[in-house]
Amino acid sequence: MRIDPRWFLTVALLASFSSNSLHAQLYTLQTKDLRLIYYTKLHEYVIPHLARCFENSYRYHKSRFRYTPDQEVTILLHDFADYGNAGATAVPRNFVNMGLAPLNYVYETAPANERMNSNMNHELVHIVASDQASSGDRLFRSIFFGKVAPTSENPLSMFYSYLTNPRRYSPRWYHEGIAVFMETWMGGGYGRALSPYDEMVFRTMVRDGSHIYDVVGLESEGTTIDFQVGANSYLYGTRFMSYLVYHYGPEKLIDWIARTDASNRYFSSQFTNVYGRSLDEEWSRWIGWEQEWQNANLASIREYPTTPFRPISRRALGSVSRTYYDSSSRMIYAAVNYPGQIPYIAAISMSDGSIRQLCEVKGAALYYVCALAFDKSHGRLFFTSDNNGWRDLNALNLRTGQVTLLQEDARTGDLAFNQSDLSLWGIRHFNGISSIVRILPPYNEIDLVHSWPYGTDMFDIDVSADGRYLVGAMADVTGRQQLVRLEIPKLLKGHAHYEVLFDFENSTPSNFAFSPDGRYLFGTSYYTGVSNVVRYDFERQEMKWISNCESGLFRPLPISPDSLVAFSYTGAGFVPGTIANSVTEDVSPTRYLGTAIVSRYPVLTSWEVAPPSEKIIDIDTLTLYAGEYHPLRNVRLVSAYPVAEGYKEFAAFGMRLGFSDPMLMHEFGLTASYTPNALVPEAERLHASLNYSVSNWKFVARYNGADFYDLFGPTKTSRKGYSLSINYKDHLIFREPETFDYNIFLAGYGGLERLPDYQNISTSFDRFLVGSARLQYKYMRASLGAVDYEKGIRWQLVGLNTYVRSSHFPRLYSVLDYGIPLPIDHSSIWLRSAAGSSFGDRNDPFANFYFGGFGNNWIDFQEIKRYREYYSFPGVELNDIGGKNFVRGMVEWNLPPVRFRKFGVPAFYSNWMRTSLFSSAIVTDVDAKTLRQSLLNVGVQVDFRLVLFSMLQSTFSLGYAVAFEEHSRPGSEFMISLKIL
Amino acid sequence: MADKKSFFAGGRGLAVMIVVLAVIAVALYFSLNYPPPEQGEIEGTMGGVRKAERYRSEQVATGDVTLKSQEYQALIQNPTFMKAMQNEDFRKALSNEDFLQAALQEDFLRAIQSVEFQKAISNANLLKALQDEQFMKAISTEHFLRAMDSEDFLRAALSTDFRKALADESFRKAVSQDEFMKAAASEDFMKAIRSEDLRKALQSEEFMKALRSEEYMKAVSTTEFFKAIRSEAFRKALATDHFLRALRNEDFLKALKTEHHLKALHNEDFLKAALQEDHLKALQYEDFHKAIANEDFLKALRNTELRKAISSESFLKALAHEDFLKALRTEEFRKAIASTEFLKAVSQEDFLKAALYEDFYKAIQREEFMKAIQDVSLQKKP
Repeated sequence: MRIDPRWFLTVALLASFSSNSLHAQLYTLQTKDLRLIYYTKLHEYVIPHLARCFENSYRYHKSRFRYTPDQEVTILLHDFADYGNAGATAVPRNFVNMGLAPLNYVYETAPANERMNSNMNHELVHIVASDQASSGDRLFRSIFFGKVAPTSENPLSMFYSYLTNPRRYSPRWYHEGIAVFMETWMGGGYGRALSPYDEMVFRTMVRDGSHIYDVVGLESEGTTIDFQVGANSYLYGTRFMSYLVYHYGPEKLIDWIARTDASNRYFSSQFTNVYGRSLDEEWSRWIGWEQEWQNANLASIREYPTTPFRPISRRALGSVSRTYYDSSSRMIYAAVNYPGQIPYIAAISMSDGSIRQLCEVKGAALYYVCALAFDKSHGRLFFTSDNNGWRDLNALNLRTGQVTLLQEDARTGDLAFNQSDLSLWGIRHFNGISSIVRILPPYNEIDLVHSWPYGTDMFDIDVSADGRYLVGAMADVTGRQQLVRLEIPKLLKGHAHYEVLFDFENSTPSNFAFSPDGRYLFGTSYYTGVSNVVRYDFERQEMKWISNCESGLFRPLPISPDSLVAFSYTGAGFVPGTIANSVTEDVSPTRYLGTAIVSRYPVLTSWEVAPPSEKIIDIDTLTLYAGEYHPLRNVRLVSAYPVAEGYKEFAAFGMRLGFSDPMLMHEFGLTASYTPNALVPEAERLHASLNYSVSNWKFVARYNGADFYDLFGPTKTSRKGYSLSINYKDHLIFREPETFDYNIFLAGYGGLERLPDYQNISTSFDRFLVGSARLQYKYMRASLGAVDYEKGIRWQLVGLNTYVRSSHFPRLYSVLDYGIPLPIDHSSIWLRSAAGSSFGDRNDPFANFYFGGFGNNWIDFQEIKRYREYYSFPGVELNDIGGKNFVRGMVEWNLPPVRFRKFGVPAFYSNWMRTSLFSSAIVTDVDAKTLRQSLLNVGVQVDFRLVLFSMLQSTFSLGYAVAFEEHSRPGSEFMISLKIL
Repeated sequence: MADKKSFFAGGRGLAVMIVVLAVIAVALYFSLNYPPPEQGEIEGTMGGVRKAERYRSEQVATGDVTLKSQEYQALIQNPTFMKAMQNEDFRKALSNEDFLQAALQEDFLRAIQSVEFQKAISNANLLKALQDEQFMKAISTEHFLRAMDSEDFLRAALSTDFRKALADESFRKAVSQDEFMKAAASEDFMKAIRSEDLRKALQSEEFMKALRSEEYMKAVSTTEFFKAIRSEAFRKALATDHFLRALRNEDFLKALKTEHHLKALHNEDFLKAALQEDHLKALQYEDFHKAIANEDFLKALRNTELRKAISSESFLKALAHEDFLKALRTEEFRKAIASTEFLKAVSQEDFLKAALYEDFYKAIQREEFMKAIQDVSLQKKP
């Protein structure tokens, strides 16, 4: 049947273009400054409170920073993860995404006070710091009709973006530092600027003589090789901000951050403007001062003898989960996550400290790795996976090593096993509420035991050996934390009365667990400013200290009446060791920098923002609209800027207009340019492209398509003619890192000279349809600090069909990649294979596959490692090898990256360099001996990661390959490429 | 030589002692407590160890956090309930306000968990009968309910003969006659019905034949039974055509003869229930007796909670409501209450608690809430 491509595409377009069917119904509450969006009515209970928190916080920030916004802030409230989190951006529009779930307080890395208020205080600082504009910034925003978002399709947008939002292009430590600082003082002292964890990190670095990163080193190495990775931005940023305030006062800090008319564009030059000294220089002074401060704290600790600690393992384990001791095998079980190795559950021998990997932990969390519980009687461990999303519950059989998925999306952690009745207890986070749950054998259904009111959260629970009691830490909305005990029989009858064993006030009672005889609880607390082990005696109802340590001890585990296992904090992570189980009263408190700051500058006490109560914020009066939200109705022009493009060998100039709704659910891009060169036929001088993406769909229409990167050959994507394409992508499995997705693509072309995908292949037919369907399964993992995947499998199956001249030219190919990590950190070996066949006439170009070249352009925006693609073959020219069918195989060795501690300046530096060695072989026309081509190549590619303006990442690549073919001279190819963004 | 007196004699020593002790006390006090600790230095201790100074001021308190519609939050937290809400039939049933008012009582909820009830509720005749006010009044009386407890009654009621008898129109008419009803209300009649002699007589084939004979009836007047039935009302009743015809009804007489039935006749509650005016009137209706003859229904009625539930005023009100009855008749509703998810859900304490809250009803009636509950994206990541 003859199909007119225009008709087909039009119908397909219209059928797919139904906005309401593209996403679930959204709801909104709007005020003058706020557009609060949520996707389910079940979240509505917290909406007014969240809106009040916003209005309250925003008023404060506007006053403190002298900030006048010119657009509202859009906030999306979601429940996408079991632990709360939030993020913000001001480009192209002010947007915050806010997680509803309670926070994770592990090691006191998050404050325990009311989280909506605290998160809002924090995230709005990001908005202010990125959005606040001087008159110069506002001028550029009016020229470009808004704030320009950098896009790889038009790299000039990077510069426009800097002109409209210069402060956005500051390092992460700068943004997180000021946000944490403000959140702490707005919250009356609750936050990481007054955190014992931060003190511990720097105290330990000073004690161990560890390197404290400078400004460039922090971003290039410090946030990648450390077991805390990106969290280092928070640590350093907050600490540096606090240091500045301690020495120069809080107002100067605001002067640095606020983007006023008198301020400098770049954050670093503004620093010099305010403090009269370069950022580098002051940073060095801070490091020197930090040494003094921490040495004073260490001296205070050493007033009394420190507790002897005997390490079990020779090396640090990175982040560590809750641990268990099996006295029969003398093994400690814990989940570990450290840079260079895929996270796993480990068995650590008490005898010789050797570590055996038991099973991988998919989706490990940064600090706590995963929840873990031990069933000694059946020799199994229960653990959670997908810890950064909705947690799954799994069981590991210690004898057989088999892992069983018990419940998907159980959303439950803080596991504790009740040995008396074999039930598993946990804390479930759902819809923002913390609940105690019980899971009975066979552990595939959750029973709700008790839900706490909003704002109350229970964590770090344990069950006594006789099954009678449940203990845990309880935080309430004020941030007060208590160690509590509940009676399980009463709890199961609906009586959730708890006994307060000890009120820790604003310190966290961590990991309190029963001794085997049930007489004691062992846990840790930063009560003295240092995390030391404490013991609660049920008979005497008193707390006693067990340790006096210099860095911090965590997760104590009684292993005998005389000794405990505990984990000592080091810069490389936690080290397991033993300490004596003996009481001491000789523990000195240390000093908090935050307390010293407020003593010196009591004005900070007035920085606390009033509670967001109904008495202070009447949200009903402020509300302009509450009801359904339709993203399409909120699409606006977000920016318009000039562009330069390449068309064949010529340059074209024009404009790009961008439209979107605040949440970027609908994005339109329209680019039009003109080639003012007489060598180009008149009919080809005008170029236009329109693209629209919504939900899983993407539509692209092009007319004489031009491309910025064609200005820098040899790869050209610009084409004479017109095209219209539709792309749809969706997931069959989405449990990152495991995904199984499919992609359907349909495109119609007209007026072409060359094939769309093969620039060196001309065609005598200028009109055709292309359709393709792709299935892809991916399960790829990388360890902390990795620059690429280090393990996993990727499989693709692609079917394509080209319809031209009433004929079909179907093709099918498949790709299979498999990688394994090597014992060397961040190094892996990959086997990559591909095979395909076409079912058309061999003599027709549409019925062939073409291979050749690295494929990278001199200036590029696509995949860096293009030699991995099935159509690449470095060492020969692009599209030089053709065939109706093919088989290709590659072996690739990724060497560990070399990280640069300092290679550049804050505005432009290099993070790392990595090298890959590869060798591949290809055979085409396998079925036709006379046409068959067989080639082999060997090559290398070296990549350098570059960072411009603190945020814009680019990659500079060098490659070289030699290709061999029987009866032919070897070919070689040298590749140089800069990938922008 | 002078007489030396002791330094401590005459009370002087005591005074000195006191002064010395006082000095020591003062010295001790000041050495231990001076200078006095400033307010900021008093931070508390734990295990004899001083706390580190950590600034903290007034925080957001519980009163500062005002939330909306919290009452059913605990219910939403219950995974069993949420699973039940995925069931479309259940959701439809919950959308009926009258059903909610009646059905969400604790007794009813516990009752419907029984297998028998679930079978009964699927009977079309029963459902039709449920519309009848008379029927509902009848089955909700205390006597009837107590009679349901009787094993004998149950067996009797389940017997084919009895059910056939009930199907007989003349019998039904007979027992619904005013005269009969009056007679049935008399104490003498009750005693007579329960007498041993009557039982024996009823077991006798000859007696039964004789009962058919008018002359015999006139003739026998010497036994106790007939003394009892000498009450005018009863005699009038007996004299009615309908009653007499009923007595001639083979099925009725066969039923009377069954052991279970005879035992049931001894049950005072049964008799009182069976002979109540409402019950007897209800017997006129075909649907009623079909319903009451339903085995499953009868078994279900043995459930204590169900009986309590259906005797409640709110349930009766609900039954009077057209919408509720419509709901009862729909297959979706029956499927819903028969579903495992629903039964598990409604047996949860949280569900029962939630049912007490007005907001819960409001929420359930809001389409958005129901949509939100059913939204698969709640169970899977959006």
